[in-house]
Amino acid sequence: MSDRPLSISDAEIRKLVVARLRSFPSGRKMSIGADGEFTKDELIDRVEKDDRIGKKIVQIQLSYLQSLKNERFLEG
Amino acid sequence: MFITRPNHDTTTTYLFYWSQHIIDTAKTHKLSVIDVKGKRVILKEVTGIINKTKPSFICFNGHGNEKTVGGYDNEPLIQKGVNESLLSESVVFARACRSAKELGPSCVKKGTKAYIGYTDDFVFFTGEAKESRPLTDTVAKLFLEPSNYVAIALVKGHSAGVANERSKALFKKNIKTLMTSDTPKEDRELIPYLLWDMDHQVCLGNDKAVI
Repeated sequence: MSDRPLSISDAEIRKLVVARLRSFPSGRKMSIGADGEFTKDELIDRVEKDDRIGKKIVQIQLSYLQSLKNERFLEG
Repeated sequence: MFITRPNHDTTTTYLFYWSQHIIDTAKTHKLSVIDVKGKRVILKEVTGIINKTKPSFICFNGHGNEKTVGGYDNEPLIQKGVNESLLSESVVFARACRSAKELGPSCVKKGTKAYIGYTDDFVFFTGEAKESRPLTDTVAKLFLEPSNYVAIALVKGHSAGVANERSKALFKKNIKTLMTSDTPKEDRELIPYLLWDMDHQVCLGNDKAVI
């Protein structure tokens, strides 16, 4: 087995984020400031297009995964 | 206390309604409240009232960016390099995207005692069927109740630093509740967004400042 760190492409990350977004119930919207409100399908579309909103969603998800890695939720 | 509540789109309408809890708490604690709402949230009106009343606490609800906090139809109210001195000697809570990144530090340099806000986008989820009754929206409540608590703690007499920390503690409480095994999977997907708001909420300036 290789000792190299696992690398993952941006496209693969977007696929993972889209998979997470698909878990959302359809009746919800996300408000992102002056950019407006987005349904689940609109968010998925933005992530796939990799535009500003899509990049923001990816950034939020990666930030969360980093916090899990750092075991932040085990803090009091 | 001076508070702005524009309501020109769904996001600001949610903030409009949820801010009523802040106003009610302030009145309970015998604070005088200047509530500027709807189409009145424009630069001329806001400037005139702040100059005349010199409020010790200013609470903005609206859209923003790194250099601006906006009012009705996103009319700029406070802009970096333009009129930060309007907020001097006040404690400020800006529930607006990204304004704590550049505008907040600039305000503190120009005399704002403490500036609590967000260094990146403030995001929240809503239940689609609840848009006509925002206060019954239990999904939005997970986000807006903790952020409300910044202002509520301030009007209860806590310092800016304590208000920020207690608000963050409420975000964390909601996150932990959603992490329990009896929470539906679709609700657990809200956690990254709550964490985002919590992590980007900051208190700049004198964290011991009170109103």
